[in-house]
Amino acid sequence: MTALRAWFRDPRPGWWLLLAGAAGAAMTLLCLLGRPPGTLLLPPPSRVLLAFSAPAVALMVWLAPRGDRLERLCAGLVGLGSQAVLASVPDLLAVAVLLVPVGFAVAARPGRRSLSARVRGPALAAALLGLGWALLRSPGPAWLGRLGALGVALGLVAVGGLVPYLQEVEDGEPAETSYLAWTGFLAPALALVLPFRLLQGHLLTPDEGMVVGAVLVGLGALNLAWGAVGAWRTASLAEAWRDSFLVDWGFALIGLGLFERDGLAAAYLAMLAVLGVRTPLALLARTAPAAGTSPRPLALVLVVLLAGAAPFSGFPVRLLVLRAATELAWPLAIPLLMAMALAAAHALRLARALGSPRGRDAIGLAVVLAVSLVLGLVPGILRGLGGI
Amino acid sequence: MEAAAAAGAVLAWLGVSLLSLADARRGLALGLVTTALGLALAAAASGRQPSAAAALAAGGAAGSLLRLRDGEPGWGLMRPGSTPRLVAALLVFLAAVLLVGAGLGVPTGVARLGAIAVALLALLRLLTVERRSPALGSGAALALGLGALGGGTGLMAAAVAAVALGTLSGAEAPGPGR
Repeated sequence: MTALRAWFRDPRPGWWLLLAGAAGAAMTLLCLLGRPPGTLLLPPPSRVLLAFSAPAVALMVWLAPRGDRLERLCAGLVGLGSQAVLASVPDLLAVAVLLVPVGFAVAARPGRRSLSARVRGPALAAALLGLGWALLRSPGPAWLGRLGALGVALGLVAVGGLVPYLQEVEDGEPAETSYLAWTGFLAPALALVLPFRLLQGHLLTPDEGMVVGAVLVGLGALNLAWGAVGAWRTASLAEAWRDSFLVDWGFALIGLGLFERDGLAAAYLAMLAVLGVRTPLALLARTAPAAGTSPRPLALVLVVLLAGAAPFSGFPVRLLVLRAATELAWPLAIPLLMAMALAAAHALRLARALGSPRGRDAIGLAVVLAVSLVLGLVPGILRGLGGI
Repeated sequence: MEAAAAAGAVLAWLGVSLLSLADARRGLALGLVTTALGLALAAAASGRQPSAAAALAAGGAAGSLLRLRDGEPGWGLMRPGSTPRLVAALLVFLAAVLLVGAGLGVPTGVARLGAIAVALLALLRLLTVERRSPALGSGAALALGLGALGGGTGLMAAAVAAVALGTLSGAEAPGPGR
């Protein structure tokens, strides 16, 4: 009983955390192998996403103080396993159910905010997705289907903890319990797999598709604007980093909601960039010395990267979103261009936050720059790997 | 079969209502196990795989037993300030009836009524609660309700989720480490 009571309390990685880490690694392997057949099926985009998640976990472990590395590794493996399972389970209702224990597992780790405060977002997302999905499939009047479509779209946004579900950002909160766990790590897996499952299975009527698309485009634009202005204006650096995630998510949601080939590709690349570039940079910014200043050439490269300019990861995302928007209705490009220009304003501030990296940080930053270059220079190959 | 499904749905609603009105371990555990049994009965009566329905009941029972090990002792039922939760329990049932609508004529629809009522009420409790133990109990009920809306996979996933949530400690941590 004493051992049970100590679960998720002991700051050291106890046997339970080692066990959970091993289970996470095993689940990741099973999902990659597709075993048992028919129960777990990892779609190609999610395989690529998982491949981008592994370095993010490795970086989190690499940057942790020596005594904390085993604990971070176990937490990261649990995260990888959760991501793989959420992306692999074909039944969307089962995905919604599994979101609940995953949300509690993240929230139960020690932190300043209470468990109940931290679990509200994932629980609301699970309920919206589950109830929405059930209403979509239930016989009845057309408005029930549209209500279900609304639930699924709002649930998808809630999983990421985006506007209007923003939660408090704490300075100094460990990455695995902060907003990064959902916005930067677990939610991208769901954001990619849910719309693809809905589209591939032809599960939505035109009316329901319009509801999902309108909600995603509307909330995508809201997140884009909120993130661009927020990251520029907020006094807190932690808030500025979170708001920069909203910009990436804004592009992804708009891309998903447009239901165009290029839009989906933009969302796919944006999610890869979140996992492979934005999350590692946010992790690096946490360990950077507060008073450090990047050498001028490095600072310039970082500003270009964070502003979403060529040849880095943000550029193909912006290009594809613009192309998809103009295919649908060219006036959509005007607010998008304005938002893109505004979103570049916070790049200098975030680049400064990375300071002057040395040692492990410098190696980590070099890897992130390389990943961003790959995303920016060969997006076609990554689209091919993901089957998009 | 329709009567069994209706009995299951009502039992599940009573269970989740009890859970939402309870603040201590015994009340939470009784609410959770009643909810699980009601949902399992309704699922089996509506033609879902009996083994999956049994798994749901077993998962809920195991989760409720684990809930008994920590948290505030006693029943903690209907404490001052619980009137809005009582009103919510009634309103949620009416909302679920509206959502299921014409489906109430068949066992599947009646089972869906119980599952929607459980999911909505558990969510409301989870969004308003501050303490760990009631949050964990409500989370388990939410998973059970959502799982009962689906087929065999959903029911099995809900059973696993209820047990997994039961293993988490419901004891309050001192200070900011909650």
